[in-house]
Amino acid sequence: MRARVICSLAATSLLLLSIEFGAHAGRPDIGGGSNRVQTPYKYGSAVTLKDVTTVKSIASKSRTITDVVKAGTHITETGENVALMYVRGDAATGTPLYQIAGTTDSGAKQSIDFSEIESFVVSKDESNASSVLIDVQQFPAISAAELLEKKPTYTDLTQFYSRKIRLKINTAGPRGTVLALVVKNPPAKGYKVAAPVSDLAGNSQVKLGYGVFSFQSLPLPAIWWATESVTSDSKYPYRVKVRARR
Amino acid sequence: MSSSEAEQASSKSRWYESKIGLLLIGSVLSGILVPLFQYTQETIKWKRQNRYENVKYQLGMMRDGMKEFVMIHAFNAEAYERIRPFAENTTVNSKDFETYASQHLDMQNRRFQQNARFAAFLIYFPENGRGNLRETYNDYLGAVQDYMGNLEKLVQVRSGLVDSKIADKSGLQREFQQLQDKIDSGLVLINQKYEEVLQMMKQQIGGKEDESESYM
Repeated sequence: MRARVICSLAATSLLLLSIEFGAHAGRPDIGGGSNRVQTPYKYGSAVTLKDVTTVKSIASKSRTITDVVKAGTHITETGENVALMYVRGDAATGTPLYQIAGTTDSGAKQSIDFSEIESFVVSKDESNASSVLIDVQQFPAISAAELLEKKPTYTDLTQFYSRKIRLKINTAGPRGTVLALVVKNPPAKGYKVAAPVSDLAGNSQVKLGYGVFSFQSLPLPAIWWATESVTSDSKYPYRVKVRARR
Repeated sequence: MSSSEAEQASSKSRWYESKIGLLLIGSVLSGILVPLFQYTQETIKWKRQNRYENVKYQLGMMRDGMKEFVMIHAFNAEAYERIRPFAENTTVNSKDFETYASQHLDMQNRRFQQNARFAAFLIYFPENGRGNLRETYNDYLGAVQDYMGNLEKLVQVRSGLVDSKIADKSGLQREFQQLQDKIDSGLVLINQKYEEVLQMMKQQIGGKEDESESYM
């Protein structure tokens, strides 16, 4: 990852130093703030494919969740560095998975990386107790190369590169484990179970926010698709504002 | 058993079966045992109702506390709006600086009052989570304090930039730009701390809601 392209300490006029715990789009705001865009890329500099793929791979592993509702309790879950993992009880010691993989309605196998997931909704699979149906809102459904080639605006991304996919996934893992949503909240080193996937409240949306990563001691938002063509759009939602929760 | 003993035994059992015997047994049951049972049931019910009312009251205060905390966060927006004319390329004069100084003081006073109002609600949060909540809230206040300080400094630097007596303003220009960046990153940090406090409160409120349902 080249310093000159991702960020420079000297030119931070339009580059937001983001230390935000998840950059959420669309949450109601109290108002106020400079409204400057949040992006990991330096304004005015050429962004390379390597830069985008680097930030994309960081984005996969640094998504955040807020207010995830579990069935049967009013206590909601929040966390950083979200992953899926096959766990036994509360022990989150397995291999973290940063994609949702399953079969589509037509029977084809499909896997969607966390960097391309905006939100998902879990519902029961009436035909099989050890699987669930997940409606994934994929955004943006665009590769890093296509993003740089086509230079879409934010409006283009929402209109042409957003889609919903239904996947059936198996929640039962090997040796009696179950698939669970896990989080890793610094300064803790390991993952902890946020909720077994089958315990997520039915029809309750789980939104994934963008975490931050450190580059040359600067915290940057892992919004990998926030290139200049996207952030120049007035509808681009990730800006510096005083934010309130939904 | 001899016939006289047999007669004695059967007369005892006949006593229980006699009308007077049944009346006495019935009196003991209805006069002592049943009321005692009812009293015990009522006591259990009253204790449960009392615990439920306490939990309900506590829950209400926790929810009110959360509302007061959201109001605190709004001051950060007000503070930024007050310095916006100085941060953007608007022409400002000395009167604007004076107006800002008095409005900013008034806003700070209102902010401190709101902080105190929220702090009073903290005692209603469960003891096992209160310490952590208080600490995280203090972190939030620290971030806000830094942010407010940078806003004030920005206005002072802007005052220097419009001062015709200062010839070389390049240093001030640099400082002005740096302060704008600090204010932006400060606001993002405040949002993060705000989320942490809010999430803690939400989790504790959720736990209390679960507890209140257990009484049903």
